Amino acid sequence: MAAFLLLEGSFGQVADTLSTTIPSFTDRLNFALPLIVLLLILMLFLMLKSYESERSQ
Amino acid sequence: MGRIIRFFDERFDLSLIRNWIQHKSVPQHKHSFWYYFGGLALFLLMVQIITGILLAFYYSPNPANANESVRYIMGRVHYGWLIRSIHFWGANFLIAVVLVHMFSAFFMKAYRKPRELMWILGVVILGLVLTFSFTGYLLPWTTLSYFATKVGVNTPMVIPIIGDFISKIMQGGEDVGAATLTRMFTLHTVILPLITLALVSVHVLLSQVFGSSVPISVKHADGETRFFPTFLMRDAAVWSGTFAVLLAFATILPANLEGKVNPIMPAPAGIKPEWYFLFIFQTLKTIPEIAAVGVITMGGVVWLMVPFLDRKPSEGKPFFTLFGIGVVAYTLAMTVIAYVTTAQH
Amino acid sequence: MNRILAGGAAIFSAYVIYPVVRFLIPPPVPLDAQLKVQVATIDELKPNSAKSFRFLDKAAVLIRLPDGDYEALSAKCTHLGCTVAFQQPEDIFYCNCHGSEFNIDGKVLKGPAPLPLSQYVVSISGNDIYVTAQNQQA
Repeated sequence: MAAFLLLEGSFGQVADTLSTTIPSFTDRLNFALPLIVLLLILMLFLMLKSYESERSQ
Repeated sequence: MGRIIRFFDERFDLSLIRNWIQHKSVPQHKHSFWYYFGGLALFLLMVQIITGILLAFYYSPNPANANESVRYIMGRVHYGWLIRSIHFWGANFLIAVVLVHMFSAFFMKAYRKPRELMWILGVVILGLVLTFSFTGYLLPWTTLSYFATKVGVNTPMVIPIIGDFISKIMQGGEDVGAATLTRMFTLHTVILPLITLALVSVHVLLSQVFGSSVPISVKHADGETRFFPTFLMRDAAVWSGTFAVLLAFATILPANLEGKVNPIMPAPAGIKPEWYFLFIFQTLKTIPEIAAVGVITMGGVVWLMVPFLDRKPSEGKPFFTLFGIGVVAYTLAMTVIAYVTTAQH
Repeated sequence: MNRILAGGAAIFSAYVIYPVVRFLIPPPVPLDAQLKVQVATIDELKPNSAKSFRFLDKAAVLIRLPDGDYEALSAKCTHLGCTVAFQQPEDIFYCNCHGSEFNIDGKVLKGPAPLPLSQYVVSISGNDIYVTAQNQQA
């Protein structure tokens, strides 16, 4: 189970020691930006493919 | 793939499905753009279900652990910030898309016979989506969550005779506390998903049976686009683009997390609900409470019954269109007023 | 075009599945959060008695030996992880799940447990008894 339940009866104490800082903006962007670009490229290709499929109807 | 299809073909009558795939089409005209919003709402609902299930692996629904578990997700769990932020922004996107879908159906008079039941289901689904948002809001157990929920569950108290009872049922007791949190969690993760999935399934099934409605102003459609594969590819393109925007929001503006609430402290100044409830919030502030609850309830009933009240939609009389514009204008005005007046505090 | 789309969809799927799988794998428990735990006070335990407590996210037991000394052991059976019970007057740890037995120092007396119970370091500061893990220095 989750580690925050570690110390008996001291949730407040555990919560204080827990880091609630999330990855930095740069780190978050480094992960998400390639995926966002990939999605936009996919979007473009899907639109092109749909027009190609419509023309061949 | 062919072998898998043959396996089922040899055992079940797939002609209905085959027929549907070959013949389902979507009308092409200048308003066809609005047809994408229904599918987009369905896509966003799936995103919410998946991210919600993932969050449920770590979330703990009791006041001692709730806030800590969300902080654990944000700070310790790998990609916890991402899953939670997608869930947070996904909820806002879903509500916006459902509203656009509903208003586009209204102004195109898509509720005309034979689609009356689809309209009713749609309005009920909007109510369910807003209830999802209300129940989910308490779960992080922050100051904002707690007091926003307190306002929400105390509002029915103005209703005579049954108001107190309704409030107690929502709270699970005399005040917002551990029982409320458990109740909201059960509603948010079990009851609402079951009901919503059932109604959405019927709503989508009816859209297959009846096809897409063509607005009255369009005398002749420019043709029909095959759903498979053309329109579905365009649907997928819209979903990809929307997911890209959702990811951007989640990355650049990750979900906020305040500290745990201290229920004995007073409500913070300038507290207000999320944007989609602001018009109700402002209505309650502007007119006396019981009248406001009455107005909102009656408004909801009238909105639900529009297909049966708009007797002759094909005659193109503008009354209901004006009524719809009035509803949009009122909602927007009340939302802006609420923002401005609470910002002044 | 089809191959590019299929390739793109495959890369997208992998890019999405990776964080989901990573999310589901629970993060490791940081040891520094449990460096030193105050378990009991000096006169809380009589000689030849024991007290259970949680340490390193597992069940542990503090024993006061007949001579008055203290000892702390993991109470997690090294066979399949059941919590062992301290039995008197035999002064052994017995595992109800599969019958393993350990002596008061944690050594295996009877299998199927393959390894002894982990020993922890006990220290006394003032009126308090503290337990730390073997590789930590108090």
